[in-house]
Amino acid sequence: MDKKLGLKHHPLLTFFGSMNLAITLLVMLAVASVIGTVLKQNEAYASYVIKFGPFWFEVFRTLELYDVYSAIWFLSVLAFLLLSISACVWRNGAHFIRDMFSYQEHTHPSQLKKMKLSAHWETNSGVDAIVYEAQNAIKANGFRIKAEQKAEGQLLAAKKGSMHRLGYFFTHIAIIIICLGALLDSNIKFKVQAWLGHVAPETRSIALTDVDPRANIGVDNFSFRGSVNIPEGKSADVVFLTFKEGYLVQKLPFQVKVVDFRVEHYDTGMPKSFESDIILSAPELKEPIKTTISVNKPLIYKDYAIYQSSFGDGGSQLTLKAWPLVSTTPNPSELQGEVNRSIPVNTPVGDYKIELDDYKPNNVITLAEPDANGRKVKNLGPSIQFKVRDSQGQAVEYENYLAAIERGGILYQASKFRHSRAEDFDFLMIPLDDQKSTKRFMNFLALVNDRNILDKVLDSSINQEKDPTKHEQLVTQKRFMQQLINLFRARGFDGIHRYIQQAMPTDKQDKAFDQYLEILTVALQGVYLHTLEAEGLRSEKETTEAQRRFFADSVEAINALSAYGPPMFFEVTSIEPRESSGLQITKSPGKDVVYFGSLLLVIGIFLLFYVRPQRIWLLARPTPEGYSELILAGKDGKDDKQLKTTFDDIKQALLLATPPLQETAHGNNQSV
Amino acid sequence: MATTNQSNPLMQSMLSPRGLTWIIAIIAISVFTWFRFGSIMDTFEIGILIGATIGLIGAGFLWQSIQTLFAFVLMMALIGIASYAKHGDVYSANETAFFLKFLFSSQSAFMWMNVLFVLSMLTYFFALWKNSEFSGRVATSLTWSAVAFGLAGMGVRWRESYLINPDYGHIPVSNLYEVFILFVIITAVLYLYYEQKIRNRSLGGFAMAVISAAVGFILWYTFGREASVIQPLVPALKSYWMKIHVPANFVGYGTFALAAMVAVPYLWRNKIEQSGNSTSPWLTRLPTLEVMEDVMYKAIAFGFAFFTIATILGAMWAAEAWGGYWSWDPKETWALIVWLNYAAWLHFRMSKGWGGARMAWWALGGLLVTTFAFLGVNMFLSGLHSYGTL
Ligand code: HEM
Repeated sequence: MDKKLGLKHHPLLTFFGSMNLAITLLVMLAVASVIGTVLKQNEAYASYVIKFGPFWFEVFRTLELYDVYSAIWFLSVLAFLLLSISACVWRNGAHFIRDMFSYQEHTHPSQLKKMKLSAHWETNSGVDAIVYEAQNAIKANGFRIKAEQKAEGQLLAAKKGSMHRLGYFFTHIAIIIICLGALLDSNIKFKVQAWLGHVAPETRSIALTDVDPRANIGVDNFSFRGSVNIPEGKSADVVFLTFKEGYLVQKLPFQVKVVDFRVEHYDTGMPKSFESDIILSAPELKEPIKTTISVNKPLIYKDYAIYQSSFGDGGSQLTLKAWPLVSTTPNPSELQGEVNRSIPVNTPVGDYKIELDDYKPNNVITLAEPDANGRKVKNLGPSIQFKVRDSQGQAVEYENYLAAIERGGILYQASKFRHSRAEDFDFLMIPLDDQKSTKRFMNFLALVNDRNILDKVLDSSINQEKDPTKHEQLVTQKRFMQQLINLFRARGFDGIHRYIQQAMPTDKQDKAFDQYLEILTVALQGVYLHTLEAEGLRSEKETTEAQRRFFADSVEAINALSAYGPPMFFEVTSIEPRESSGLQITKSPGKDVVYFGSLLLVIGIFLLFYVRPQRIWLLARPTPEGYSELILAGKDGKDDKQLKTTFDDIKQALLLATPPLQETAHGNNQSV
Repeated sequence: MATTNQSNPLMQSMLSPRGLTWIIAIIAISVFTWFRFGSIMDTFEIGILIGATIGLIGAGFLWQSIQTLFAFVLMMALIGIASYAKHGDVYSANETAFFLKFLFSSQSAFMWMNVLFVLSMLTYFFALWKNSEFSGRVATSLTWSAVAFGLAGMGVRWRESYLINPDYGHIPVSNLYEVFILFVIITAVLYLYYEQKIRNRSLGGFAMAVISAAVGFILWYTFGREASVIQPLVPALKSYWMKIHVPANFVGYGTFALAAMVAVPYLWRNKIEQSGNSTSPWLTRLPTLEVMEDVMYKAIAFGFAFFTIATILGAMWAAEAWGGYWSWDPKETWALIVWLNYAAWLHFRMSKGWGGARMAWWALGGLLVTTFAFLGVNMFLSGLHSYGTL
């Protein structure tokens, strides 16, 4: 006993069990957590360098701020907190348990009189009668009583709410249990193994068979959380765990096949549900498990849980029509491709590679104003994302929408493009003809591409001019127009602007630009009419309003083409979507431990807050004068207000049953 | 003598005519609900229904005013729902039908709630300034009415989500707009509880101040961002956990906000007392320091318990939706920070016996932490909780 007491007061235990240390640790944890939320965790190191510069990048890296929650110092704070709580429970434990079971019957009469809730008086009734009445009154309020004959007199010691103390144990032990459970599920074991050199992450994206053997984790691993993308129709028996700057490959004791992945949509185009039909087969299973998992509905198999966590393209099959943008003949060629693969394309103006990155079945955008149905979102329909890379390795990024997009009553084929990730996307909007196809635009474009188109368009009327000087004039004019068209096709309005800036004095530039535009427009109109004629659409000189809109839009589109990049426009003619389902697979034996700890924690907190540890004492003894003295006292943890009503009740009952002699009622609680 | 002691007051009130009516009414309503919707409810929803029934009956006895409030809310919400039914159950009826347009469509009800809360703040402060018992009573009624409108609006909004499209239907606790409304209602109800308990209305203005600030946010969010439009749920939110996790969380936030607002008059009174001016009229109007300290402690203790449960429920939900019970996602982490903050507060008070101005300042500062956790995180930090993607 003595030795134990000595241990309890050991300076180390006092230090760890001290409230100051505990609170310091709590605050440290909170501050560390703040850092972890403000500084985005686990991003690529390169992006941190850009954000903080090389110096601070290095400082933050040394402090392990890019992965705070598994930093050594963070885990040490946690470990210290656990030590602190354990020391605290150890230090207070015995005392609290004793207190729980004790009736505190050794309390001295003078102590009783000093308590905040206390009353005493002398009465005619005998000690036995007092004790009898008091027992009734105290019991009626739900107390348990221990009666004892003491040297000072007959004592009743009563208590209620001893479970309060249990609350202390429950809450604090619960925290320890929760932390231990979380530790079971953490990647500490890999960190230790990595430190010992048994485990090393793989950083390259390569075929499974080539992965560094030290990155392969066997099925005997008792806890992990990893993910894997499985295309429809394919299966997998590993998951990937992110670890440090790379990943580890965790082998599974079963195989999961994704039969079908489905996204359901609301009428707004927002996703409504994600689900996968999967088949799980394992050697120990006679029948494979066929089931459907979805968000919030995982499959639990033995200690493993399989979640629907993301989705992506699993190699959709595309047929593309490639329109040549610089050719004078509008004949597209046909290409076959698959998402996540690239297609080589050889053209007269160079060799290219088309990297098909993604097929998105839906593109939901948020509108500034809700539409007539009160909806603020709109679905632009499917799109493909791809890059076109030239032989030097330069790439332009594209996103083409499959469905026509309507703007102000006109339909367009839309394509977004940008030359580097730092830029915003530009738009190419190709107007669609009466057949809702790009054909008329492509015909028009092919004519504009013809560097001598005006010969074809204008020569018949120029040749009708018999006056030689006038004829000469018309030919010069034609040549100038042709130059303008060629410049416009190559460099857009911007090119014409720049040409004027170089060739003319500043004060004449604006006027010249307007004139040039006018001439260009007249020339292009001629070409456009030619296009319409070729379609057999125009017999007389009149054009319709729609045809004029189409012309303006086409000119705008040709202008955009000057920055569009590679000389092809891709239209999707058919698509066979194939999705891949992103599964997360976990084995977390710590989960139940954590849940058990949480349950303890909740029970503990309610016991601490809502069970009051209350005590009542009654001491009755004969006085030398032949009367009896009665002392009643009560105590409620650190807060006696709660007990006051009960105490007054009991006192009132006793005052009636064993009335005081004149003027002998005293107490610290005078509100009778 | 002993017999009167034995008759438990709770038992007495349960067996009174009013008490019995309450029990029978609530059971009747849930039986009706079960007959009407039982076929489409899953086990968990039936569990929630049973839990809600028992909880509501219990709450009605622990605090009788809940019974009256419930009756009013039920009546208002039913008028709203019936008006929709009368106009062919189309959502656009909220612009034509009288009761909907002016009173009980969710939008109108929330606007009434907003206005009444601001009015109640002004009236509470007026009552404190003029020491007017009558104005105080008016302020209390305004607050109760605001709460009734808010709750009725929530009920009607729940129905509206089904009217717009049965696919959209969900309990309105799914986005920042909806939980803000929940927040002001819960905070106000908690305040009203303590007001009755301490029999003093002088704290009302302070409590309504934080509510009015939230009302300001709701108004900006409604008109500036069109946030009141009812949106369907993203898949991750389609979970029965949401129905209990979110309200439990907001009981926590509400009590923490309330404790912070009690800290203000506490510090004020503390200052007056320290300046030695014992004739200040405020000393007779404000509750004693002891009472205010007690309210602060009780509120934080109550909130802490709920916040703990809410966080645990959140972890269980995360385990099911994201495959891990704890991911150090910013929202989760901030919940932990709030929790640690109040755990430290409670320890200082319980074990070190700290009290007075220090703890009041801390409770007030806690409001900043709490606000960041439920507003700042959504605005400034992105993570799983922002539901940008699956
Ligand atoms: C995350 C960690 C912790 C949590 C959540 C926690 C929670 C609690 C709660 C809720 C209470 C009740 C306060 C009240 O009744 O108002 C409490 C009391 C207490 N805690 Fe902790 N605690 C933690 C860590 C610690 C540590 C590290 C120590 C040891 C230094 C400690 C020592 C105590 C003591 C002595 C009491 C008073 C018990 C009593 O008087 O009945 N706690 N704790």
